[in-house]
Amino acid sequence: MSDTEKHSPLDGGSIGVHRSAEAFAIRVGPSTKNEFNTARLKLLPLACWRADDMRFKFDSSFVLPGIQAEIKHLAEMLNSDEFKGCPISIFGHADPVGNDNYNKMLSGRRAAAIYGLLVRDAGIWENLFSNKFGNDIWGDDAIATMNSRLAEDDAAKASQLQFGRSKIDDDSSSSDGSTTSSASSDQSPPSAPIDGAAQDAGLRKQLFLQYMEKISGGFKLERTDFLGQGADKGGKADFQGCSEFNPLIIFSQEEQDVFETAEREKDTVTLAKRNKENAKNRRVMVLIFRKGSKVEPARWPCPRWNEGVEGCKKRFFSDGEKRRSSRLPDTDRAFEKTRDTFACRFYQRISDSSPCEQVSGLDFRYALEKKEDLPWSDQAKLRIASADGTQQRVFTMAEGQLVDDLLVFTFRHCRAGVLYKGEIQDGSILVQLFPLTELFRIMNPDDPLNVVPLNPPDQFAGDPPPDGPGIAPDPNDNTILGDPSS
Amino acid sequence: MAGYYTVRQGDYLSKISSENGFFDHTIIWNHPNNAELKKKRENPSVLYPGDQLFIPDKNQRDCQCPTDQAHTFEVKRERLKLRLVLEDQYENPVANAKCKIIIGAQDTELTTDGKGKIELEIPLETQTGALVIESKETPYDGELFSLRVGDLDPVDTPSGQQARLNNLGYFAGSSEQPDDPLFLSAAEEFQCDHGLTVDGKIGPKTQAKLKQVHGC
Repeated sequence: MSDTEKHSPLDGGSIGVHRSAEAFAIRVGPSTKNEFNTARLKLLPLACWRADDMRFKFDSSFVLPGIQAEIKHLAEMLNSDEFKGCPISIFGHADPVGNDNYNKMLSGRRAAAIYGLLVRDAGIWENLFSNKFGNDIWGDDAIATMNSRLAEDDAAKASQLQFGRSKIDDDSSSSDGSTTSSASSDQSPPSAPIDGAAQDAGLRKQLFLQYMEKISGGFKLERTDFLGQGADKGGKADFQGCSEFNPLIIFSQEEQDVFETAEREKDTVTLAKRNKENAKNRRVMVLIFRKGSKVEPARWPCPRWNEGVEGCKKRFFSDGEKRRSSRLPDTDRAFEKTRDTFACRFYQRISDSSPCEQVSGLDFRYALEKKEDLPWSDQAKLRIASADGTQQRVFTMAEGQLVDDLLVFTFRHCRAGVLYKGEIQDGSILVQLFPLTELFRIMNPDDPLNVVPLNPPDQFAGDPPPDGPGIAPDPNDNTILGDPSS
Repeated sequence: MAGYYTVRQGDYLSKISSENGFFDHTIIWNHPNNAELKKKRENPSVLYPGDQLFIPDKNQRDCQCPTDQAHTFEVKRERLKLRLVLEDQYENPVANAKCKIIIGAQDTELTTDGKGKIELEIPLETQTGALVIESKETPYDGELFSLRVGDLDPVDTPSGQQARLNNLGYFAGSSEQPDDPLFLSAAEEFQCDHGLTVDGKIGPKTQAKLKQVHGC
């Protein structure tokens, strides 16, 4: 991740670098007698990564194959010079539906699943598979999903993406949400499905390990790469669940009343809507700490992933209950606005400067026309960045989804009122697609195709922005650098 | 001319004295006009912007000396020290660690003692400096911390509490952006870690503990 990429929203998550604490100035009083000052060098996360709810089977800890897209970015970050050797810790979060203990377990199971994936611990996955918990049942369909992933031919898949022959995927929670995992560096041939894995633990172990290898793109960590160094058998300080204690969004009382009625009346449609909106709370965060950071698991404030909530509650703000559960009459409470929805002050402190702990989500889909005479090659990259430098996403052409003859890229978590610009980079060629413009709210969030093709400039859906130049690219603004004819 | 001086951010008594031509701050500190301030602040190096400090006239001292001989006059300058203890997050001293203090053009290589302490004499009007940790045992190896000498406010002020909480690793926010949720979480963490009632309010007990743990 380059220096300028402070925050990249991803399709199923997010990755970013923390705002740096003002290089920690130590204010001291000089001494004329025996006075002294103390500087305690505490734990400080530098960066973060998040996997969204869509990367898990609904209400389950089973990890879906689409997570490969986000793992790729985590791998890049942890392999980079800046973050190589930095220990990490995993924090699972649940939404407020269900009680504290249930959610502690569920969020802990998700954190455990990710940990197991990263260190290739099939034992953890076997534990989750064999021990159902509430609605978290891996079951036969998990086996089927894993086998079907093994059967995919990575090489054919990669070339498919290159020529844009994949279909656009819909957002329903039952699918894994993505058919366009970025072209994997793991170009292995398809593996045979492992029959009998549902019944046989030994075969299951093989299935788990092969599946883990595929969806992590070959990226693997050691137990010593985690904050607790694997010293504690229960994973203390390596991974934990925060139950529902640190929500990013708390529904208004108005909405909550509607949902509670839906619960009583078994109104599945409204409940599905509730679950979709609550999805933002159901996330797994990875915090990346300074190289050399060490913790003593016994002194780590968080309880283990499968332990109860008493340890968590000790670390609550004195008004923690109010923080995580009080509701406004008709507006949602959002962490990124008021920063007071987390009950746990320990988690608040370490995640405070994290750009991943936000949900601002206007999705913007930008389309490029597949034409014959484009000035860039298939190796070109599409870069959409905010004017204030805090957000950026660089897409490879392979990450675009073909819809008719448009190549569509989804840029998530745009913020209203912020100016964005788009450009194509291909070696020394730089084409400005649209100059700094404000993105507008999409008319139909459930099926938006906010297409802004390069040519012709007047074809776009949705409302134009109230002021400003509009989304249509200015033909005079097409800067092509390095063009030998200019 | 004698008169009252209003303390500004970054001032500490030794600096003010020196700027006014006094080489010993106790002359000012012990002056009867400053008795109330002295009682309130206790530590002359930790003053607060707005404090009223009385600066007396310098005493003229006459000295009869024959003009055809050389004479030596000794001026006793007071010595100002910078004393800092480095600890890890578990309050263990960062002992025997190499570090460097940079003040102005002067670099001084030091090693923390068994209790994590370094001590250095500094010029009387020092305002800023830097600390660089050069020890592979800490996660802060190679890190540079800027030091603001004299910028520590008294412990009964929010900025002073914030500075001490920050120094102790509780991340209470930066003074330029008063950050209530962060300050509150830092205050409560401190109280929780030190066996105090956790209420986020920095009352006399918490202040006393903060001063004791921080050192000043």
